[in-house]
Amino acid sequence: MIVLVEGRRVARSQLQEAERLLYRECELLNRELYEDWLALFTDDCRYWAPLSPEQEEAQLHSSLFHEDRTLMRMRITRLKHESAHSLAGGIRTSRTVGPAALREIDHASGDWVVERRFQMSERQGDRVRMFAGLFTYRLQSAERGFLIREKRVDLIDCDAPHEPLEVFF
Amino acid sequence: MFEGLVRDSSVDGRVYTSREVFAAEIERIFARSWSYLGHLGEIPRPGDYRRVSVAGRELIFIRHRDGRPRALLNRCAHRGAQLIGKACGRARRLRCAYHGWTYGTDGALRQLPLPDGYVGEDAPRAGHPDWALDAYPVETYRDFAFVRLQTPSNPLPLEEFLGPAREALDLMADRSPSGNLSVAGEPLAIVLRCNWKVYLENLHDGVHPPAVHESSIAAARAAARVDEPPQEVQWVAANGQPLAVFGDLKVRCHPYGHSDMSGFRKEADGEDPAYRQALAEAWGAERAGQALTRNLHNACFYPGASAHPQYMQMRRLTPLAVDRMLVESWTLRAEGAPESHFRRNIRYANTIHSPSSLVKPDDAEAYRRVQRGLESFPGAVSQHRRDSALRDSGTSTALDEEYVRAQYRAWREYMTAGR
Ligand code: FES
Ligand SMILES: [Fe+2]
Repeated sequence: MIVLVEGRRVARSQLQEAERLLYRECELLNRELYEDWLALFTDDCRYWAPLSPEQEEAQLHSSLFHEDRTLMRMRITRLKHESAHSLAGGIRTSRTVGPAALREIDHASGDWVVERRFQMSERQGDRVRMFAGLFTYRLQSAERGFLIREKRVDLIDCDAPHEPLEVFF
Repeated sequence: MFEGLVRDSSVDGRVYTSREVFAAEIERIFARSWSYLGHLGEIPRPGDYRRVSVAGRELIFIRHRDGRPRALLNRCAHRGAQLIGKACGRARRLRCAYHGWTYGTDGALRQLPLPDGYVGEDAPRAGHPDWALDAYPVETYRDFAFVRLQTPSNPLPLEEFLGPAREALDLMADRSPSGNLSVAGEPLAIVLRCNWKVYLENLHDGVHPPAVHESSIAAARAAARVDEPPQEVQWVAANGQPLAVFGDLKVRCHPYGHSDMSGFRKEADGEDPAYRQALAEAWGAERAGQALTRNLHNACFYPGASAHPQYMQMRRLTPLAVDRMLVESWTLRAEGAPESHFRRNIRYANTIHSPSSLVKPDDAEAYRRVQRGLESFPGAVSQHRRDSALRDSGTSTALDEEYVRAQYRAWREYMTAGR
């Protein structure tokens, strides 16, 4: 379900399509189907996890993740590589998400801005970790077929030290 | 007692796993040497502060009205409460949250409630040095601030301690025509499940990349098949060069366990004529040229800091437990340098030093496995490797374990001093 904020009206079919996209986005990661996951993104996409709360900028400030499609694909290739030593014991993740809210429709581009809360558990080797925060998606306009232009992940502990982060949230 | 753990080309694995050794290292190595506190760019204005943990003590790295930094113990002189709760901030006075004792930014006790109730010679009173926050000696070199928690009988000045390794700091400061560097935002911070020495022993290790980094090398090679692969791809792919190439990387070992290593290639940073000119006016042609072209990849300031001068990275290492450590990385911005350099250096940090780095997890895994292996049975750890191509020049290479042996010579000095 996508909650409409500020009393926006959009076609029910569009909401359903966006819902389906966001469902697949998480579930493909949960199932480690990374190639299918990447296919949900536009060519000019970006995956961004800021390092500081309320960080507005990624060029003049370090980020936890800041990847374009080339770098996202590079990460996926590594995750699948048999000699990724850190993954020798396997890595499994499970994302649970809250209701999505349509925050904004960009006037110029028609992009939708949708956000939702998430929790992710990750089991790697002898360790289980928990992550929580906010996903903010920028979806390419419905007219051109929904695709993800940007996924931003704000961890509640983005500014805390972390052990290596290997999979996308 | 610790003497016997270290031999010329091997050490006893217990130096990585023993809690007694670890506790002694904190007191004898970390507390007695100069520890990297931070860059003055992190606290640009009077009253700016940042909490820093050094050798198990929590310190307040703060700039006083006189413009100079202080390292104050973050512990109230009344009942010992932690004074500053925030990681960083700005304050004119430091007021304890418990009973309101208030200190200046130099640590002096300025005010305490109900002062009339304190009578007698040794009673707390404002302005008395016995009731100030403990302050430790801080020295700076080119605005890089270091602190020493215990002063040995013959203390070394910071500059002498850094010795020739300080070139890495010069190269960074010289990238700004004004010599000023600034810091934007939080450092990238990564926790590693290994003893702090395991990490330091990897700093100039040119033998490990093809084995450890196989997966990220393969990923970068696949990504490089497109036209104009981004620099991130090239940085990751660099680990995949033949071992012989790592033999071309010169490693210099300096006194007190410090060392540095030359790099594969130098980024072309002199493309902006106005910038080149400004540097030459500030430092003279020769020094400015060095700042732009000297190919120094990284430096180790034993035991607690490391720098990547080419990409303006400064790193602070904090041992958290015998088998756990923290590495924080800052990208320093050279005032007056092209913004494009800073943007590239941020990307370098994201690629190489972020917890999400594609390179880092396999390093971290190698360190973790060393720790695990040694915990199951300490035995002996070999540092015998000598680069067969090495001439007797005082300089070794990234294929030689000389810098590790040099670290242990320093380790032995610290651990057995005054005994
Ligand atoms: S403990 Fe700080 S004022 Fe009492
Ligand atoms: Fe490495």
